Amino acid sequence: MNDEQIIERVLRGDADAYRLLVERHERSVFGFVHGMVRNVSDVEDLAQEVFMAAFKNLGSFDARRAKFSTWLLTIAHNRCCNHLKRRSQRSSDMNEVMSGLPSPDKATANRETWDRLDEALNNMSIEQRTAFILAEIQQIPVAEIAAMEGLPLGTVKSRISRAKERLRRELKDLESAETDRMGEEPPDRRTSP
Amino acid sequence: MTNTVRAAKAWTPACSEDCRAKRKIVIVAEPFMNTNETIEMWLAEKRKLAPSTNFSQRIMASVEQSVASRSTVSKAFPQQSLSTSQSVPYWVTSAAVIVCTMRTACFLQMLIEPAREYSVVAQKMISEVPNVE
Repeated sequence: MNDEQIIERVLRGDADAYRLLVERHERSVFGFVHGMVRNVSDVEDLAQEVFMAAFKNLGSFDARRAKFSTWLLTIAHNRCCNHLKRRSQRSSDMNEVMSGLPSPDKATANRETWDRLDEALNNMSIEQRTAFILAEIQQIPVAEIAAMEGLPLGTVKSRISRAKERLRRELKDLESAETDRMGEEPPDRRTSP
Repeated sequence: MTNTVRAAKAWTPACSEDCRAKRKIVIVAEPFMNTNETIEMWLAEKRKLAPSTNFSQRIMASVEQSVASRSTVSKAFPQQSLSTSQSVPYWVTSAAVIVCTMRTACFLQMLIEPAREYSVVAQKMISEVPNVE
């Protein structure tokens, strides 16, 4: 059963069928919101808001204009932007402890690199971050992102490449910092007899 | 064993541990390892992220609540709209009837009321001319 058929069922009054849509798209919405917001306590709440907003406005969804997943991510994008704006108005976002989800694969060796990349992603503008997350994490085609955001294709492409460039630069900085640390002479511990 | 050698031996394990830790980081961020590969590894990690297991249950609970409240509202609204649809025309019609009645009465009164006539001979209004038998 495809998304459109499920939506029809939901609109006919079978609200329980919405569970299928949630289960099918929860990872992509969660991943997107996590990339945008990163604060774990807010991520699930925001993702839930996205699904509730989609449920309430399901009647306005037009399958000829966009795929359901794209429509859902557009809602997620709007919600995240509003959330980030509210946060920046309260000016507490900068002081907030940004924590990623604990991952068993995150070995100590990778943690520093991952954290630096997370930080770099977090420091990007909302527009750049959105384009990057949609293209690289959600793996949505660039043309679809352009349609979703109402932007020319070239603008989206340049945002993505600028974001990638920024991440590469961040890694290079990390490398050179590590090389410098490695190159440091150990302290002279020689003791006189 | 001289003091120098002893000191060197004492430093070596600490150094190697430290170096090993550093090397681990360098393995990820080494220049010969493509930065794109590192970013890809990070992205793969991000793609693996998933919400908690009861996430869909939480949403469905909210959906059920929303459906329940919507049905309550839909029960309440038709009554309200019915009463509105009944009362509005009633008041409008009543007001229109009152206005029309008053205007008609005025018009009839104007028609019924005899016009006062002026007597050119008596140089007076007819009502003021005394009846002469």
